[in-house]
Amino acid sequence: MEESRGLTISQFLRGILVALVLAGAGWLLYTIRGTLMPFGVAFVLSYLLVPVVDYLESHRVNRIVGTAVVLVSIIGLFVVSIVTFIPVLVTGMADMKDNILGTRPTWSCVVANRGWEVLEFTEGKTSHPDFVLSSNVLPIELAPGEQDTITVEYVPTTLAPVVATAVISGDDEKVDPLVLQLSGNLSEEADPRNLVPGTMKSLGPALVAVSDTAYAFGRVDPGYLMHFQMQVAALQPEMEMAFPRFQDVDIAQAIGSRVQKAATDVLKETPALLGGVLSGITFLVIVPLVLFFLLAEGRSIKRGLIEVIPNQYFEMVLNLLDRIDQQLGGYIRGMVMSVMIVSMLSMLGLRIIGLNDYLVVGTIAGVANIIPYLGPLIGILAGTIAAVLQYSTLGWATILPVVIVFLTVQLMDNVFVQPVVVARSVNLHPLIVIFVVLVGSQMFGAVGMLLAVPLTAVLKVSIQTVYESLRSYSLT
Amino acid sequence: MRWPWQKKSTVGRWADIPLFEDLSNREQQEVGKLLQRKTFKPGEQIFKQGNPGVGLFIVMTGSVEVMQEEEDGTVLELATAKPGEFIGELALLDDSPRTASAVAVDETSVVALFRTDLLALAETRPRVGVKILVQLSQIVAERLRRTNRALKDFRLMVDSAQEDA
Repeated sequence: MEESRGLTISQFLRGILVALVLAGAGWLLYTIRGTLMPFGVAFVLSYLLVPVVDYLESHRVNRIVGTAVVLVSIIGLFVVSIVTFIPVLVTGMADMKDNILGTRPTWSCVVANRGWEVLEFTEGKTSHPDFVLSSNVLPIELAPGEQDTITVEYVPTTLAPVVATAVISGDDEKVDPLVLQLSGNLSEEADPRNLVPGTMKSLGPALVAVSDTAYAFGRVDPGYLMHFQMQVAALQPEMEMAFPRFQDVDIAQAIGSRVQKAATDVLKETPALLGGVLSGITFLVIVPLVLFFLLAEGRSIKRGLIEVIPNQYFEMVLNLLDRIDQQLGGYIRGMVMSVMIVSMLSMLGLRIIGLNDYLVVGTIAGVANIIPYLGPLIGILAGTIAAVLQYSTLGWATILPVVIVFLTVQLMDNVFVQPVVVARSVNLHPLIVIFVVLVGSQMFGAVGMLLAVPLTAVLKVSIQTVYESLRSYSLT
Repeated sequence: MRWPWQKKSTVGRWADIPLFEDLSNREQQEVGKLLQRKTFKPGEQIFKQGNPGVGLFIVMTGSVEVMQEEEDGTVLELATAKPGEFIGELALLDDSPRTASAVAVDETSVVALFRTDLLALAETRPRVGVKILVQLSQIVAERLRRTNRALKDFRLMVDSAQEDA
């Protein structure tokens, strides 16, 4: 007891050694974090499934048999959900993207040189900006017998019918320009897809074959973004009057390109994200394997661990493990339950108010609910966007039902779900929440944002428990 | 079902202690799976007064001295646990601080039953759990009765001494 009063040199050295070992362990964990991932997932899942296996065991099902039953059901559930739910989610997101950006149909025709002279087209123009000639095509130089395709993209800015011509001309004045008839959003009766079948045309002295010379794009919705851009564009003069610095900027264009990029990025990354997390034979093999041993042999594993701990510390370590186990179990189980319940409640509410994308928005809201403070806002935001897209109006009548649904869900979550399922709520200061969410998003993107708060909570609970235990063992 | 690398459970002298008296052979085997063997050198501490306890220890070989440290630093020897006897049973109820310390006198081997394991057992095998917990509460109740009796005797003694004075 006496030597613990002052800090002796050997204690100092031991402290440094411990710090070095901890730092080394931290570095090691960081470098092998990819490998740790399946173990971590199995660990979290084991917390969810232990009660189920315990329940089966209490009904006289052998623990190993029970574990096997639970694992097979979970894998089955996983496969079924991937087969059914993920495609729904992905098409839902694709639909949402189409609603925002609109579809951009293209049409191509083939131009062939059937004459004896080299044919050159250098310039292409359309009489209406909604029809865009692919920029990488021109200039076309066709030797006799060669052919090339010309592609036109229809970028509707309005639902009103548009008729235009595309004129593709060359330097040679002897050669007449190639004229393509284009139309979009014509009424159904006037919508024969190909107005004029392919013809052989003589343009001056050259002989040109064109597969089609006219095309009607049919009904194409410009998408919400375009509506919005047109409204902004209409406001541009006023904006310029009010803020002269906007004179050099095409605001609508800037907004458009940014949203477009963001939307395509999200959609491009989603499969990669899912794939990256789930892919790999290691993951799909190791997780069930580790999970099996954790579930069936969890107590033996703990026993083996205790066996190697020195007599002096084993009671303390055991107490510590028990407490952390209890806290983490409560937290993880509570969180997953809360995500599921909030998802389902949101889906139900959104379905009642008639939102088409209720599955996607409900899932987003449920998962985002992991993030305190920010999560509910993300849900409301997603719901509002979906509602605005669906009804194409931005007004209280559109937004209010969504807000009411989410407020109700939050109320139920806070009053009924959280107190029941979360054993001891992990109170993190709002500033800490914001900080770790930002750090998480910077380090690992959207996934980092979601995992930041649970990981911090786990860390906080562990450190807190370690500290409390050490203090009750009078080691601090 | 037992995996090849798992040791056989030790059903032995530990099953004779009052806590496990009512258990059938099968149930004793269930409990045996939960027990953990630990060996202590002479003079090594098994648990310390004031620390949260995690479970009960049954002495298999050797002997353990149970002692209480007073606030003024004097050490009061309470008892010596011989093979077949158990110590620290109150930790099976909660993790409140140990009321005494236990130190191995000789080379001592003990088996430990931890609270979390017992509570888990009560969930998965309620009958076994209830039997053990009933025995435990009978032991505690008996001790409380004895304490009450001693307190009563002490009071009577004090009262008669005051009357005499």
